[in-house]
Amino acid sequence: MNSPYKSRRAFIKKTIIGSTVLMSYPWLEALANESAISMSAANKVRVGIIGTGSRGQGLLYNLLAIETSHNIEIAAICDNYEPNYQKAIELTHGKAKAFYDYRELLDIKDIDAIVIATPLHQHAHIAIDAMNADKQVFCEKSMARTLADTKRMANTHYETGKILQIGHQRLFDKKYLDAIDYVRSGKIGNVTQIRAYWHRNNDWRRPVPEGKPELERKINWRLYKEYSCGLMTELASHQIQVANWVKDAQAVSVIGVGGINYWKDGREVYDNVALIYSYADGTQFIYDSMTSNRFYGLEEQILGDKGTFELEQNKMYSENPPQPAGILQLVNNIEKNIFEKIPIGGATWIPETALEYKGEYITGDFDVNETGISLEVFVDSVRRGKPTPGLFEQGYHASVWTLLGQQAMETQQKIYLPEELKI
Amino acid sequence: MKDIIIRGATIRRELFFFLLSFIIAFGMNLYAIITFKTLWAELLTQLPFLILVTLVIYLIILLARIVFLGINKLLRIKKNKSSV
Ligand SMILES: NC(=O)c1ccc[n+]([C@@H]2O[C@H](COP(=O)([O-])OP(=O)(O)OC[C@H]3O[C@@H](n4cnc5c(N)ncnc54)[C@H](O)[C@@H]3O)[C@@H](O)[C@H]2O)c1
Repeated sequence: MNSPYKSRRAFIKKTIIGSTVLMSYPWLEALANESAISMSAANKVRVGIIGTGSRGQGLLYNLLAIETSHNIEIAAICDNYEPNYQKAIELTHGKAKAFYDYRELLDIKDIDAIVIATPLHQHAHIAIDAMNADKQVFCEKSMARTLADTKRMANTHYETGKILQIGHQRLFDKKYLDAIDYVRSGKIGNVTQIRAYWHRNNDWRRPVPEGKPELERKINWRLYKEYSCGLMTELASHQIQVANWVKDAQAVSVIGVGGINYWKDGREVYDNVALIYSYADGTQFIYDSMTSNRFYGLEEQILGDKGTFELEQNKMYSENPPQPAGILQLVNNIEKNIFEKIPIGGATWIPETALEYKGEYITGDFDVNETGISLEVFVDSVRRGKPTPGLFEQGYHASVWTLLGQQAMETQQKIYLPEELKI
Repeated sequence: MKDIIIRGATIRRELFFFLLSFIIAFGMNLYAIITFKTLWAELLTQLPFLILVTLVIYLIILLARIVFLGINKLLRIKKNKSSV
């Protein structure tokens, strides 16, 4: 596997230098203008990680990989669940200070930055406390469980001037960056519809240690309304961020339905959702997610009058695909005339089935570690002491429209952006 | 084991049919380029595929020749029988 540092260098070379991409993504500017990282002890960025469960450990690995190259130190870790607390101590070889209570971690004066990977309902108060304690913050998506908390986080970010970067790694993914660049340059024409889905076929449960049923809600927090909005905040938020990014705008309204039609196992969050977000220019973003079929998997499809992108697959399809060679078409026609049956009493129109066309790749370089790069951008901005332009807003709008989507499903109403949530 | 002897005339005849097949394939390519408005470069770039088409045409002609010869032979046998 590439180390994130290598990936980042490749990323800079392939994405930024000599490309128009930079202008569209202010958050890449920091990478392009990078000067040599000062290796002095005074310039060390000291990071604390709060929440070292599944994602927190992933982020920890990424940070450890750039500890030397980026002159950072994992100075502290915090988790209030013993196995994950111990795992973090093990990963940091006991060098990081370890805490069960995040407030004690925030009390350490020389910690510059905090990475938050706790369950959703724990994001807001930890992030707000951290910013108020003079720390720069990287917080996993979605921002918060409630709209009020989301806005409070935004207010604190603007009032304190502290960094609040939300973990939307697709913003650093080469295929997404190139696709957005193509959208802006008109390659797929006028984007009039976006479709996205995330389909799984599993119960989304994590095993609870035997004889400890009281841990059910702590471990499977995603399934309970008090802590999460399930599919919306955990999965859809990424794709809502992509849709807003593609349209370079926020949606103006959302309608939706959701329910539990398969996993009737005591969970409180929907196991299937279907929503339509509308944009000011009439573009519809059609979204659905389910947990009882995985045939279609995960995708974001961007539909323009000249072409289509399938971003997860790194694929681009022109509306006028390159023609096969004349002789191939001729042979194909002859074959069809000989072997295809003439339908009697069937449809008199040609069925508009999808073209059988394999498309082209959006980019040949998709070997970058986008989570690693997003953390490097965070560390860079911590060192500069300034938020990276445009990044927070991407996370904020995605989080807000994720929760408005949830509201639309719960109230069975068309929901618009309330005035007080505008930033 | 019996040796198989292919006469020069046979080779020449088969070469003629193969060339004929290639000319038909080439004509098809020309027709296709004009009809489907594709690139003239395909006259060259599609040569490998054209060889395949040539082979198919050659086989079809061969089949037709075998059938033709077969019918001819049958007719001759009948004629000989009736003249006995
Ligand atoms: N960006 C991505 O692609 C991505 C992927 C997976 C998860 N996530 C996000 O990461 C976050 C964590 O998800 P996860 O799968 O790691 O969950 P998890 O349950 O595996 O881990 C959460 C950890 O936080 C700890 N925790 C809870 N409250 C705490 C507190 N007050 N102080 C300290 N620790 C506390 C828990 O004990 C647990 O170890 C979620 O917000 C999730 O949406 C993002």
